[in-house]
Amino acid sequence: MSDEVVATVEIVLFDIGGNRYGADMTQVRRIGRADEHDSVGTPLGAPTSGRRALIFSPSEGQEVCLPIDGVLGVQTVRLDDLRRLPPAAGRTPFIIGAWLDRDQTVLLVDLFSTNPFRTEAQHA
Amino acid sequence: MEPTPLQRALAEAPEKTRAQAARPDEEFFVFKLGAVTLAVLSKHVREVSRLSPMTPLPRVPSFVLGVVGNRGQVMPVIDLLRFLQQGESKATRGGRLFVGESSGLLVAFLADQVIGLRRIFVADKLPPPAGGGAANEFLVGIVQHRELGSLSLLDLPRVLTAARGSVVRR
Repeated sequence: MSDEVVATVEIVLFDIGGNRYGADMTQVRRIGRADEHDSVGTPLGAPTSGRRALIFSPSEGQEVCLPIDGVLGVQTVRLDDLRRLPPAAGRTPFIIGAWLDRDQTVLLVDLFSTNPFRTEAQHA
Repeated sequence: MEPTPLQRALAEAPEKTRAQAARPDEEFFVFKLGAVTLAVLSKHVREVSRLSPMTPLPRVPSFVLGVVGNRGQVMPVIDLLRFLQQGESKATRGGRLFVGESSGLLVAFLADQVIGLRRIFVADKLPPPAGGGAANEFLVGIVQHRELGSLSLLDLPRVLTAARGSVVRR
């Protein structure tokens, strides 16, 4: 038997407008309702149904949410399956890479970078 | 004694049939997109694959349809019709992706139908028609092909460079 330890990371998978995205599980504080929090807007497009949201805390005492259609689950992903995006795919700051889930590419989102209320310190 | 006309002619005749003057040609990868038939130099095409599930990207120009995973690599997918401002492609079930390559850039392009490789004589290339609009900037010429009709010869490295520039500038 191999003793090889495979490095993994946990990502929360969510759906917006029929597209699947992933975000680092450690950034998500909880899943709640979009209308109860300050929203970062719809940088990934508007949800088509439902009012759920990923709630995260980019700084002490601050809670904001990303409106989504629904949470699809938490997935343990091998680091081997993560990819950076090529330059020709653009430089959207909150899209930090992709997870190759067999023949489907899942875009990975840095939730904190979607936050328009970031302070200068957070930008740095 | 004076040589006869036949002897004079034979004195200058070659010993074997002269090879026809070489006509330089180039190999092109030919495909259909909407109503147009396009061709790019085959050396810039790495592979052709079935249309795999595409993931849309936010905040990119409309000609970038999304990204796909191809052999463990994520690459953007470009609709050439949108890029050339000639309409837009429909991703059909029979559609294909071909991977274009130049200067280390790899990009997948949508094709409605792949026709294959054809050799085209350099001398048969005609300049792009006047008034062809924005698309002319990316054409190296057109060819009236006996089998395929009018072929637009695309400068793929130029397309890749311009597409990348357009995406990165945003």
